[in-house]
Amino acid sequence: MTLRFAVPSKGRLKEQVEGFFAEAGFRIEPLGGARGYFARIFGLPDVEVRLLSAGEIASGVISGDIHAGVTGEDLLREQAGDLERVVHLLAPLGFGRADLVVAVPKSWLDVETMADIDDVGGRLEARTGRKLRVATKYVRSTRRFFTAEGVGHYRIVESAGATEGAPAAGVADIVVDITTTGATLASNGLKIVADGVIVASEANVAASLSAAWTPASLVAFRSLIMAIATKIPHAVGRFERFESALKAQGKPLNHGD
Amino acid sequence: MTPREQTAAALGVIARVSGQRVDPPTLMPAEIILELSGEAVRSRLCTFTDATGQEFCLRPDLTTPIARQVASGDIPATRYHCAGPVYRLPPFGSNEAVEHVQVGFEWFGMAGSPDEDAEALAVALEAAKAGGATKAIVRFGDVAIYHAVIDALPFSPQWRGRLRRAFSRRKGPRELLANISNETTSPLAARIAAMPLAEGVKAVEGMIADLGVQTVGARGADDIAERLRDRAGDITPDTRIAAALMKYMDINAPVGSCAAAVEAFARDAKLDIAPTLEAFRKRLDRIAALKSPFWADATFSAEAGRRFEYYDGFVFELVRESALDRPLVSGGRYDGLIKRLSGGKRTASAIGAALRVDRLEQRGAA
Repeated sequence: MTLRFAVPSKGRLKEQVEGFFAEAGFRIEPLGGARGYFARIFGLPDVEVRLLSAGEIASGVISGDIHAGVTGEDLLREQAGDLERVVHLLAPLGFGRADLVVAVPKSWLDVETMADIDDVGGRLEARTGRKLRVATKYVRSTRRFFTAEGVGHYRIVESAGATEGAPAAGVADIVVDITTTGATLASNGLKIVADGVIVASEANVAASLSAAWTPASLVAFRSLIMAIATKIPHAVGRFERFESALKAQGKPLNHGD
Repeated sequence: MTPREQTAAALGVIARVSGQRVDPPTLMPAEIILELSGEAVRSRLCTFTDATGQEFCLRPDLTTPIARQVASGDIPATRYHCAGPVYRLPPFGSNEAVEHVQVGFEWFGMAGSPDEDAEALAVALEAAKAGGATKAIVRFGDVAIYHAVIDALPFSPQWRGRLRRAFSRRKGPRELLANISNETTSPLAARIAAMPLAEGVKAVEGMIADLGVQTVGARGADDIAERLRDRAGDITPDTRIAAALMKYMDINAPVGSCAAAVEAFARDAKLDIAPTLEAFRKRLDRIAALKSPFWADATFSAEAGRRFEYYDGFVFELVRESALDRPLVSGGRYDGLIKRLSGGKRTASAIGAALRVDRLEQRGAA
């Protein structure tokens, strides 16, 4: 069995991943014409490359449908209950940077920290009877972070489109959103809270502990890690830790499948 | 015993003193629970959304839907008993069933006396025994003492509010007070506080205009200025005050010596909380007179009740040593709940308890 390895199928992330592998001397080439759901990597014949969206790659490595893939840590953390138990992150790739942050209106001169947000929420609830509304697409990450930071008095408003516009539109008070430079948030009149960085994310090689691994797929994965080790040396050590975690699970490495 | 027999046996004990049976609706707006316990409970709720986007959930307990009926005036504030399935998604890594049967009682609108506390505890423990519980221990506490200690220690009003809220949160009083040395004062807050209120509001308006933005939504310049003024008076507690509260939180004592332990703490810290302690002692006397099962080995813990947001007085749990976070019985006083659910329109004292039938008998025991 070969290694099922997924890379992003579109956008800037796709180009960056292709560029990364090309620079390491391993070109990714699509198979099957324009439809392009599959690809191969020259020099790594046992790696079956699937082209998926970054979100699908995250859910794929969590469920174990694919052995490994390149996706954002932010998406993985949002989708997994307890990421470290199902996925290992082996190689931060240095691109696809995206921070998941808590941002409030710039006019809130009195708010600098998460503790301030809890306090403002408490006062709002006492005054109006309603809780602070937080617009986000990252519902689970928001909930976990707010709980860990001791923030209550809030409700999540799930946002489908442009989250950063929610406060100005009057549908939320604050946002939890992805940002790279903070410019979009700033131009929407929002500022990032000092201790409100939930995940400092970048594209990473994520390996699944729940996938059906065979000795052959592990060998193929090792050769893929060696291929990128010229650019990210510490990926080898992390791969070895992943390998021992996999063996420690006690599941036999299947020859069938 | 089969689960059905366990349910009947426990309910038999409860029904004798718990008025009418009530069967609250299974479905409720998810908002009720979220408003009450916060977003953190969402991961445990079975929710779904209707065509218009309104979110519903299956009842996660029996207390909330019954209290809702009382708060809306649909049923009078009196004694009720109940039994039926409730639904909670198990935490990550747990294999407990989503649906399980609860048996319980909710007593509304009574005197809210130490006698009623004692009676409620006795009924809950007798019912657990009748339902097959063995080898379990009672952990109990009193959230009212925590509130009294905070009020008696020289905390700023802001810190009192913070510590009250922290009691039922994961980032609790300990974590909050562990970081006090990192607190910084705000020069802006000091500046605004030094002005008369109207001038402060003007100054804030000016600063917001300088940023090139407008105020949005619920928070105007007046609200922001007001909070800055409050912040200037928000004094970080002295480490000795923090240590005193920690000392209270550390109290764990067997039932026989717990009142003395709390009294010794109050004396050492020079706190005048005599009325609260008197009520505490009176309740213990009443409970002792009832000679309830499991009570002889009960333990007082200052932190008992932290996992429930609406308890505000006497709290108790029946647990097994091997699984302290999976109580067989949990109960307590929640005098503030009806007021919260009715938006201040109604008030009623309230005490209740719920038994988890699937946990009563020790699994694997013959």
